[in-house]
Amino acid sequence: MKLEEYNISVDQHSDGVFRFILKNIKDEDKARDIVQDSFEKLWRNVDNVNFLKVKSYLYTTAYRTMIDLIRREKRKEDFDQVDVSVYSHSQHYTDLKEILDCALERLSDIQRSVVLLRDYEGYNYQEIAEITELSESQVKVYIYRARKKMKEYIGHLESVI
Amino acid sequence: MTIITRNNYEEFFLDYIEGEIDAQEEAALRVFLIKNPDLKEELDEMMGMDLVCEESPVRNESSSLKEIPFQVNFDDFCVARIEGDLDSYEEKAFEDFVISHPKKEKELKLYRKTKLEADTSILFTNKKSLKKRNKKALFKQFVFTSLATAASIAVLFSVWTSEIENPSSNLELELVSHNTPIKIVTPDSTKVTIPKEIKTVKNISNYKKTEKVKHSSKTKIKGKILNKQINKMDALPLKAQVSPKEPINKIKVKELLANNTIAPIEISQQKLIELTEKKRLIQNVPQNTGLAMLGISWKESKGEEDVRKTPTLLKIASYGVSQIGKLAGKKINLEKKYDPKTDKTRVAFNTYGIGFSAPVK
Repeated sequence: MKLEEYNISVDQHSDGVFRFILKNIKDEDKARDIVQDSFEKLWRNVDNVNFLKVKSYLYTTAYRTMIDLIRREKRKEDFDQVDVSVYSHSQHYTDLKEILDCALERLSDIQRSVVLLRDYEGYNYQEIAEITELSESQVKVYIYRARKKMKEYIGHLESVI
Repeated sequence: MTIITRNNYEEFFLDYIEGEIDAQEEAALRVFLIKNPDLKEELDEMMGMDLVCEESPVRNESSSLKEIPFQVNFDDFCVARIEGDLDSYEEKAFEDFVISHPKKEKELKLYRKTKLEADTSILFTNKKSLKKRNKKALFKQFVFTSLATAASIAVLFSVWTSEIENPSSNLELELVSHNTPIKIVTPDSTKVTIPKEIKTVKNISNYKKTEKVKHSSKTKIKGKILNKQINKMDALPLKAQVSPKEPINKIKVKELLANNTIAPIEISQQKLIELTEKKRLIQNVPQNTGLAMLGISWKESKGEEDVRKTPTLLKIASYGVSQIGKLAGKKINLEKKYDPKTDKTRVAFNTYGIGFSAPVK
């Protein structure tokens, strides 16, 4: 990959990677750091990365950096342990987007990541499997489970409202 | 010919139904059915079932077959539907199923809501920090900046050196050119109109000694003070300290040479300035060297404030350096600081990656 192609990659993918990481960890500063690290790694390997596969490279690098960060912090709350009644105050949710954000936060890390890669970037199961180092069938199972959990959360809120 | 047993009779039954056995095999089959009457009923069922299947409508059969997985695994089919995992036939069958079951339709709508959309308002603002520049261009810029800085320094020192070699610099001539009015103030008790004739050299066209003046940076002040007491001399471009209560008797000045640079003149009881004809006030004037131009030859009697008052080449140089820095897009400083604790003055040059200073006396 050439210098010009690297700079084009910055323009094309930095927003998406940042969005993906930010939605996962909900920390803007750390998301910026991860994006910065990802592009630094890309720059170090700029001669070995094909421009056509740079998007996958960036998401893979960013995802793995994020997972390392999450593992270090160990701060995530599991969705299954959440009492949905706690979130039954409908006045906190002004629109579906906020409800979805809350539902997304309550997914496990891996479920959230695969759903975001699927919905935000439109990756297929195979591409997500490459990024997350899972098998294709595992990715499919995680996505199916995530959808069911999110549907349950939304449905529960709607019934309360 | 294979012997018919209870383990392989299905094959013979199917061949019999299809009409694919010969007479000998058919005879053997009849003997077998006589011996096993329970299997004859099974053969009758198989033959009858075949007829029923041919008569039943195919459409009803496929509908009933597809209905089973939709009912049991409805959630999976919903996810598969929104993920696009169903083929066209399954998709149509599923849609038909949902339409015919309104409750299921509501659930499918909830699943559709779980599809996320990227928030395009979230942007990585500092893309410039991620981008890289051509190393060759960076190197060229670095070299250019370095050369520009070096050239600036060289020019400054050249100017400085020329100032040393040529005392009659433009700077001093500029100072000389000021036709500064000189005011001599006396106490009220001795107020006498002082007719004076004070002219700078530049205003005297027929001055006889013009040539001499050309080689001097000092302003000649020609004048006559007629009164016998001068208590205070003020507003001269030089810093003169004259005790207002100590009269100077019988001073007759025909020509004064005053330097625009600061020259402390102390008139006290121990030392009175004797102003005689054509005597020049060069006793305390600093030598016009580079250090003098920087205002650092008289540090023993000057504090930082006094130094700042003096328009020196250093200030001009500092301004020039800062302007060059602006043009180059770099921060470049040239400044002089006086440290009263160490009683030392330092001239410091600072820019990106380069910085040095030198103490001056």
